[in-house]
Amino acid sequence: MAFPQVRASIPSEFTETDRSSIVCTHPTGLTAGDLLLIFVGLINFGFDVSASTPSGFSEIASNAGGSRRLLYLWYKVATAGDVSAGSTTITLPSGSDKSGYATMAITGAASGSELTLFEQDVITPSSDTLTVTTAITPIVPESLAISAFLPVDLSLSAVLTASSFSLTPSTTMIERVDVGVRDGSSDGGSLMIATGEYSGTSQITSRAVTVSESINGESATIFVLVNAPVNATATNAFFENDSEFFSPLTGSTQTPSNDFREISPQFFAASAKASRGTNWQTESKPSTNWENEI
Amino acid sequence: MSTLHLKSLEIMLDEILALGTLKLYPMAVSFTPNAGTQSYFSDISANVASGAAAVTLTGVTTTIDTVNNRVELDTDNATTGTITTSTNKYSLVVDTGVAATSPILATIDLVEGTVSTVAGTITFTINSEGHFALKAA
Repeated sequence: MAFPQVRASIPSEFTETDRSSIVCTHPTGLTAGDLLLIFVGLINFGFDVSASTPSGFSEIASNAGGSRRLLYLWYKVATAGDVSAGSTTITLPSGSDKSGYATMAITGAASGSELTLFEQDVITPSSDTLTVTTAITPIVPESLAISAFLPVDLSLSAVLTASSFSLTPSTTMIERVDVGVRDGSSDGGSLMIATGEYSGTSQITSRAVTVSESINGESATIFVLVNAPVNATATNAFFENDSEFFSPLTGSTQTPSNDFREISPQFFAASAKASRGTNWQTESKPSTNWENEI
Repeated sequence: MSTLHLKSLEIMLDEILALGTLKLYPMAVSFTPNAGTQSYFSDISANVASGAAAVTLTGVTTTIDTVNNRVELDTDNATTGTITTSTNKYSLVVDTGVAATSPILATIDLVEGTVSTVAGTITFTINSEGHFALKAA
């Protein structure tokens, strides 16, 4: 067994362009059978925004600030069609002020049970550390933990960047994505994603990211576990039956002995019929007297 | 001393095996075997472990063990396909092609108790003596 792995290529961007769709480039090396993840962050301080689920994907979504800051995660098992398409287009029905995405391909996930545990939360940190209480218990001994944050604020001094990610119980988290925007009014936000190989099935109780400055805006987060396959080995308990025999009746009055018998032969009476024989008589004839010639 | 004779036991076992193909079914943890009421695979098919399928056994042999005075049924080790399941026992069935005529030979516990997979395989390491043995006396 082994942990699911993230392919090296992780396309990502965050822009301040008002757009009605986002073309999310697939990771280089995406292969049919990979778990394909698309993260999209939408930020708008003036009106509600949303995104439509692309065909064939399942959705996890976390929204904050009255649907004006949304973090989406869509996932599916990649097909040959996804590989050849090279990208997935996300439609934004209401447009968006600030939007970004990241795509990730994961190999070695449990086929049919790739992603079974997730949480989505909204937090208002008032700090440079966004800490989220988590209550997820892995179902397999080896999982890939993916922690995504969309921190936002109205008075940023610079584009927000991530400095460190953490998980409790302690797990080494590797930063995978850190892209963001800040406009001329100091409004902005960033999409930050990290992954970590989580061993064991102890409950994960919190996750956090420390960013470049204290923020006060409501921020969306998503946390998922990608399951590794689990094999098993077994040995049979060798089974040996017992033969059972029925004891013959025994007792002082039932001592067996042979009863000798003599059997007389039986003969079938033969049937016979006698007949009288013919009494042959010689006919009377004159006898011949032979005399020698002289 | 009363005894069954080993060669006849072996012949009986071979005759049953000749009815079809010997298969191993991982069974649900909740399944309780009943030697009297469960005769054919159709009697237990609903109790196969969720997500599991039959494994065709290879290297099927019956052997007279004169030292232990018994006839043993042995096969090669067996590995399932990729499944998500839990099991603590398996049934040996001679598959005739029809569930209602495929006799159940035995249901056998796992030493490890319950084993589970998530999109993984189960490798059954068969005891060096085999699956089971019929004693002569």
